[in-house]
Amino acid sequence: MLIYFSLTLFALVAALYGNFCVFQKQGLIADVLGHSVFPAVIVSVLLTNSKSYFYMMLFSFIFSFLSFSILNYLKKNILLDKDSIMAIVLSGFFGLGTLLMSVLKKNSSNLLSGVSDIFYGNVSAISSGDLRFILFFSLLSLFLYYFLRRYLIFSSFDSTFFRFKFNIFRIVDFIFYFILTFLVTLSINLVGIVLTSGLFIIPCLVSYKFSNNYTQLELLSSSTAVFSCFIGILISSNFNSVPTGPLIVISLGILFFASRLININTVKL
Amino acid sequence: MILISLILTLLLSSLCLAFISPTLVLKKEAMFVDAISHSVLPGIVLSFIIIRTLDSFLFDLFAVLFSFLTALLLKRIFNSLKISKESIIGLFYTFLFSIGVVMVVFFANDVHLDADAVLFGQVEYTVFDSLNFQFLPFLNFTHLKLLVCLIMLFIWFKFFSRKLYYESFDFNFANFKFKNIKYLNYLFYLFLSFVLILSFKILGVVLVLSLAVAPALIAKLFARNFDQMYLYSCLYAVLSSLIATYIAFSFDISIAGTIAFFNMLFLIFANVLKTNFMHKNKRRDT
Repeated sequence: MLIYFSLTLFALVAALYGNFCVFQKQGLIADVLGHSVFPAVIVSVLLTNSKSYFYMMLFSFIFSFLSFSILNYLKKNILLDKDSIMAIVLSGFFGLGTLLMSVLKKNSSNLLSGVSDIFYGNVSAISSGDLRFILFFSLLSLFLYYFLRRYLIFSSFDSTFFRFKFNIFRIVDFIFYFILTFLVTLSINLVGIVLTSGLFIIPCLVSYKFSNNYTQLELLSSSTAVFSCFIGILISSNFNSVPTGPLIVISLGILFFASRLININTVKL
Repeated sequence: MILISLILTLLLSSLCLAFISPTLVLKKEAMFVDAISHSVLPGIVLSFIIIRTLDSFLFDLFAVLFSFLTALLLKRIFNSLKISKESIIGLFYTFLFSIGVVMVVFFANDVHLDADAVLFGQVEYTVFDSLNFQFLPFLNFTHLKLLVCLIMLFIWFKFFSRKLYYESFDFNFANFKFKNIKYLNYLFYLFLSFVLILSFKILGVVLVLSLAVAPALIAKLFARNFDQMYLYSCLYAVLSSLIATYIAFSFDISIAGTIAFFNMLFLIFANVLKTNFMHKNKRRDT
């Protein structure tokens, strides 16, 4: 029961931070971070010979920071466009993960069983210690959201004004990506690294048509995330073999199309 | 013998991907490939449900058809919805990929089309469906398909290179200058889905992306015209796949992962080379 509660809490926090991702036009940054978490998990398994959540978090923070800095370094060249750089970095880190996974397969195949869960998520594989970890960090990032909200709204809608008004913009940006990294890492066992970016982007896309101000958007997107989590958990508890993450993303996508249909009707009327 | 066959498979598939990559990079549609290659999964499962085998030619045809339809759908949605392109890609590939995962779990879990194989691909399995030629014993069925695809791509490039040149830089101007440029675009997506499906089984979803983007992106740094870009990207594809196969075999690690990782490293290296050393020479000339 507590697992499902923490999953819902995670989806809520991801939706809240994902709003800013969409408005900063960095919808795929969660995807890049998610793919760069994959080698980090395997490095941590290789070095520590255990699947401890703490080391996974540590290494995935290092790797996400690395991928993010490579992205920013390559962006400086005008000849390289943003899309292609993103594709190369994403697949490069995933390739590093594949490479290390084959090393892991050769050396210690008994540790391999839990590793494949990180792609699509496996809620039943989470131990109680990891659960406490996930709950603590989701609550912490929710708590930080309360303070960061004002600055992030400024920075995502008008970054020039934000830089002019507050002189702490670097710290705010850094903390934002720090929290994004931690959220992506938390999702390893909950929804899986491949589908994480869906939980970040889709709630905002569903709800931004119906909201008049930012508070409404926050309320709508978080309630969308919670609702779809509820549906996903309901279905996956009836069919045992289906992982929960894909079901949540499917229900979010259906909500998106439903929202489009509703919008068309109102326009026609 | 197995080594030669593997190297030939990798070479052919990377050449095929190198032929479509300059157009992709110049059109700035690199993440579009990511979207297609992820959202093709439900189509593959659907064609598996219809055909019931993974190896037949009919399965490939159905999968190509489905992926082409997905590409057209995505293109249509790009134009109709007023949301930024990145968000649409993020939305659609997660949605369709999760539909595919659920379909795999429901319908096709007992065969070796499990969800992990989709992510990584299996180069090693292509060895087994050998053609049994007497004088070329290393040739297998995958080689034949890739070779046909490569010849088709070469003819396509030979005929439409000028139109492609205009179209990939400025679609509106090309639409104004040539009459049926839209059909050329559709043909491009058809080829794209063809190559993606063929190399998808070998390399997996994510690593196809690296091979489809990296050659042209590195060639773009050094090339001075469109034809040179094609030449450099093909050369780079051949070289990188050979080097990566050598390294992967000497350390006994995954080939596809090595190629993708080395593509990233080489892009960083080429960028350093270009920005720090070659730029200064140019300035001295002028």
